[in-house]
Parts: sequence; structure tokens; C-alpha cells
Amino acid sequence: MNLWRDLDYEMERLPLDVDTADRLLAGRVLPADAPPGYEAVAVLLGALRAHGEEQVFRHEDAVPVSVKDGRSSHLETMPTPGRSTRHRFKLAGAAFAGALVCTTGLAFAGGLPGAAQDVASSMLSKVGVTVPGPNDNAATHPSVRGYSSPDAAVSDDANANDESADENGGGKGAEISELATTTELTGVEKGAAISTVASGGKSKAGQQGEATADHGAATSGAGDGAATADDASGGRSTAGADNAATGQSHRP
Amino acid sequence: MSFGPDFASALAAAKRGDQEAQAHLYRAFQPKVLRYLLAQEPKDGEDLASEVWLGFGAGLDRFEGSESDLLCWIFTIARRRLIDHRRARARRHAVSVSIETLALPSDEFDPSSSLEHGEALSCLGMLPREWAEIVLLRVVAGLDSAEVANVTGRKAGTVRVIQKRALERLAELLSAKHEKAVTQ
Repeated sequence: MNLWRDLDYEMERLPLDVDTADRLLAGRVLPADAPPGYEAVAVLLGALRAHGEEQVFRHEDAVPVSVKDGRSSHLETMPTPGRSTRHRFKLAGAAFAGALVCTTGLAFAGGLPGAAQDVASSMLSKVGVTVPGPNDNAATHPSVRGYSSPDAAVSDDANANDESADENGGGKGAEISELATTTELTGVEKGAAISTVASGGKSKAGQQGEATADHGAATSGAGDGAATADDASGGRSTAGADNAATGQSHRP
Repeated sequence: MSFGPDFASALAAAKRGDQEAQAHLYRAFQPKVLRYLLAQEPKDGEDLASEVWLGFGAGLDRFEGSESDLLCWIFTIARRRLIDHRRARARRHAVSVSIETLALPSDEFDPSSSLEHGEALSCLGMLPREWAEIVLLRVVAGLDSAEVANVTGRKAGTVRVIQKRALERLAELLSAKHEKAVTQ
């Protein structure tokens, strides 16, 4: 009597023809009817086909609100296991829009810092929106730059600075400006005069460096430098003495 | 799910923006799309399916054809989204997950899923990727060989030969697995 496995050679797997393969894949061949050696394949394909029926419609209610009109809205109803990149883009866009609204509001109120107010004013003016500039209400001093609204809170420090500026230098700028535009002096003399007014008489600008034809002026200049050095050092300095004596100058 | 003679009217209504018709199309094709994508990308399959329907909505106005043509078009979109997704992942130098790992338990799969399905995917993962894709399109998506050829850009004869070889290889693998189990 033969054992059942003695017939195994008769049940060896046969080459599959393309039509049978096609029918197996289409599910038209039951495992019991599959060619020898392909029963397991038919079972496997059936398992693949059957799987997911319960899984696919876990979110059966999640159907698109509208595929045509709400091309993005239907995504919100689609089952998504995690946050997608699209969701992050939406968040970033909302944050950007919020920042834009806040910045524009501050620009209208004139509450931005000076430089930012300046940029906002120039940018919005290009699109036809008028917002106050940083210096529209900034009095005459740069220390209040950026306080574009008369109602804006100007700090006590700023007021104090303004007052001290008036005490120390109030009107000096106008005086210098007038001198610069009305004086008949030119060249070194004009510069010396402006410098003298600006420094309150402390400046010695123009007293040195006058162009001369010989080395005499340079020697004289060196002598002046030596004198200044002597004054500064209480007579201990010897700077410039040798050069003054020999009449040589290192100045070009 | 097949529309039969109602397909043309359903498509026309969907094009006009009829939400009921659009939901009907979605319900008809989404299970196949989702199964096809989840079988290859368990973690991102649902996101990819969303992108497929986004593409579907964007191109619905221009679509003309039969139900079979619509199925091919949807799976062409799905396949391209899948390819794009894999390319993007490769650019990010992410570790590529082979299809064999699909059989491993994960949060995305219901633990009550049948063991047979895990084994089936595991065996499918031993095939070359192109062969496995064709088997999935045939079995999971329910396309015929001509439609698979349309979707994958191959000749129908080539698809038929590939699927024949794929089944032969699967038979070998299952036989070897069975023998190994018997000897142990």
C-alpha cells in the first residue's frame, strides 16, 4: 500500500499560463479549483482581497463635503492619522496673517519704534495707505524720533533730554547753519569759523596746516605743536624742538 | 461597487458640483485607493489618499471617459502620489521601509487583522517591487490587466507576463515556507 505522499510527484507545481494567472488575480478561481501547487496562492490572494474591508471604512462618515467646490475643505473630513504638512502650512499662514494685522494696526497708531514706523510708513504709502511717519510730530530733536503721535507717551527721560539739549545746544544748530550759508569766508577760514562757533571757541581748527610754499609754515606748525605739548606737559615735553630747530618737517 | 449605466449621470452631476454625486464617487473608489496605498505605505497611506482626492477634485472638470477610465485615472494619481512621496522621503534621507515590514504589527493596523493577511503581505514583500505593485493593483484595487497597464505605463502583454511570474514566485515562496514549517 502506498502512502499518500508517494503521489507527490504527480502533484508538483505546473507552469502557470497567463490566462490562469489572470483568473487567479481576478478572484475567479477558488483555492479548491486552483492548479496544483497554487492553492496556497489562491488563499493568499483571497486574504489580500478580503483585508481592509473593515479597516477602510473605519471613517465611513468622513466623506468629502465637496470635491469640486471645496477642494481643500474635504480634506478636513478625510481621516488623517497625524498632522500633515498642509496643516502646518495653514498654521504658519494664520500666524503670518495675525502678525501682519498687528503690525499694520500699530503702524496706524504710530506706536512702532522709529525705524519700523519709517519702514511701515514708506511701504504702506506705496499701496495708497497713509500712516504717520516717525518724525511727523517729533518736534525738532532727533531724541524724540519715533514718537509719531502727539498723544504717544513720551517718557520723562526723553523730555529731560530735550530740555538739556535746549539748555546746552538750543539754537546753536540754527546759528551754525546760518553762518555756513551766509558767511563770505571760504575754504579753511570758513571751516575754522564754523568749528570755532560749534565748539564755543575751543577749536583751533585752521590755525595749522595752512598751505605754504616753503617749509617755514611747517616749521612754525611744529613749533606750535611743541608749544602745545609744553603747555600740556607743564614744560617737560621736548616734542618738536629738534625738528623746529632744523627746520625739517615730516609732514608731506 | 459599480455604477453601471448610472455612471455617466453621476459623473455629470459630480462635475456640476452635486455633493451627493461626489460623495457617491468617493464612496465607490476610496476603499480601493486606501487599501492600495495602505498596503504600500501604512503610515502615510491615508494622507496620500487625501492628496489623491485633492488631485481628483482639481481635474474632475477635464475628465471625460467611462467608469473604467475614471478608475484608471484615480489610480494613476494614486501611483504618482506614491512615487512622489517616496522620492521626497529619499531626499529627506529617511530610512526606506520595505514592504516586508508591512506585516509587522503597527499602530495603523488593527490587531484583530487576520494573520493570513500579514503572511500575504510578507510574501508579497519578497517579490520585486514592480511585481508586487502589479499584484496589488490587480487584487487590492480590482483593476484588470489592461487597466494596470494603463496605470503603470506598461504594455498589457508585459503586465500579464509579470503577473504570471509573480504568482509562480509566490507559489515557490509559499511552498518553501510550508516545507520549512513541516521540518521544524
